[in-house]
Amino acid sequence: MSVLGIILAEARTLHTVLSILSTADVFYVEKHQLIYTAILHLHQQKEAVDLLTVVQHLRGKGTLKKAGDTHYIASLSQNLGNVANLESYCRILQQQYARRVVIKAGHLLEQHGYDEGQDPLEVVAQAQMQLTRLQQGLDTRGAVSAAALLPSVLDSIRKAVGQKGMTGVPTGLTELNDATGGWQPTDFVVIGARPGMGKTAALLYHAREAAIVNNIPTAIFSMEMPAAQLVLRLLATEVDGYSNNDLRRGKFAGGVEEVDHIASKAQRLGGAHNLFIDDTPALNIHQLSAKAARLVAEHGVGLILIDYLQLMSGTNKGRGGNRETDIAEISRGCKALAKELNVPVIALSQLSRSVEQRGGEKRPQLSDLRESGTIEQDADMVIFLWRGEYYNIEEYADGTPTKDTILYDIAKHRGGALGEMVFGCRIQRGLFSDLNGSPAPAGERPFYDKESKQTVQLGKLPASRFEEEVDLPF
Amino acid sequence: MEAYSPEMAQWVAKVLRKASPKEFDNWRKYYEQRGGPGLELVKAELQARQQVNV
Repeated sequence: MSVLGIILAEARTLHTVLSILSTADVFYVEKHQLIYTAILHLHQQKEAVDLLTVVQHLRGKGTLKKAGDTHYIASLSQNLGNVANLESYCRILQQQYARRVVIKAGHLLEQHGYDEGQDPLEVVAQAQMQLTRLQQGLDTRGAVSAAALLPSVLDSIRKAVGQKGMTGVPTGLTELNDATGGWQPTDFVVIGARPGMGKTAALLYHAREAAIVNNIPTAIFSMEMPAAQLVLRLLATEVDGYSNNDLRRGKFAGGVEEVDHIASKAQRLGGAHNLFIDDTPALNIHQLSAKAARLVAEHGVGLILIDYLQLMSGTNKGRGGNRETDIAEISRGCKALAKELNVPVIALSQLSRSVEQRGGEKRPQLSDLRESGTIEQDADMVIFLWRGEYYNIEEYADGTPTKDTILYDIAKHRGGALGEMVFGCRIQRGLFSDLNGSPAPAGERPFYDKESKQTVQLGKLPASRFEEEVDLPF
Repeated sequence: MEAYSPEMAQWVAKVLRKASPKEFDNWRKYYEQRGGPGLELVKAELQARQQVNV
């Protein structure tokens, strides 16, 4: 009551309240919810918020009587508390609201817990989602000055010096690490490709590199393949000499004894307690966010991978939503998730069939991201995978054979360079590796001159005469 | 800077115009405390009422 009264009586207080109370639900009494909703609406419309404008807005909505009529609203502005305590009043409202949400979630859990028809895991996901939303709603962090942020930014640069430029989660591929500094926290990365290009294999390879090689807890949300099948594919990458198919069919000359041999070779995978796989089908973004938040809180997960975006379900069913708005909601949610949890989120994405109808090399482009252009907008980085071998194309444009290789095409990179890079790829085993490429010639790389205490960039070296001759058209 | 939309300004002016002397006095006190675009309309209405009384 005091908060509403203060807003109506003191114009300068509105922004303080709006920065703390983002929803009308924080008010318990319905008429106060209606009044605050009117205030929020007027503010969004850039209309002055005072007694008469609030009354007029409520009249227009037909809710003036429900909100207590003009006299009641006028009385609010006469019963002011101490304006100096406004922020404390808002915090009290927030705390009481948090208690109500927790109590409601508890009741819901109890009800559903007794209901035999409910999937208990679904109940847990719903409760987790409610609590995560509550936590997000209560998080009203203020802006931070650039000066206050500088020490932590310098710290991360110092750390990067020790890690040879790596500031994120290592990708497992040197050239990709060089281009990105690793998968960056808060980044939403989309890896797109047509079926058969090795999307899931790439996802598993990057997950394995993070979790098994670099010991960074990693979570995979697999809506396409069951968890057991993913583990089988991981097994193929760990144990030399067996493809996915060999392992799936179980046709070993050595029988069970050979399986024991495979088990002994897969000890690293056996110890991978920090690689979490969730194969719940058709998760929506809220369920996924809730599960991811729990994994980050409980296990310190530092990388989240999703296979794949278009298999997630939307929350607009029955509300006139279409698939495009669903995908827009999902991609926006993935970016928000990366930012909120401060981890990289990598999601695979299907591409439209127009890639196949395209002539030439059938290389994907940003417009091929299926069902929504918002994926392209929301993603911090878009990487397309392409294997010439799949289309019977034997060589890249520069003559490099495509056999056992995969092309990573960085088509969007917020704050970074675009580019193409080729890696070794044995798709049957899901193995990816660096080719024997060398980094840029020393003269082309910037270096720190200790004497002048300056970073020096000499520029591109002139091409050799041999290269010039090769470029001649005859 | 706070402002009314033209429609809102028209409506507020109308309420002030129709207010009884006692009601108008209450609105005047309210807007004098609060300020903003409502105060300008109150001043205009006050002037109009004083001219009529003269």
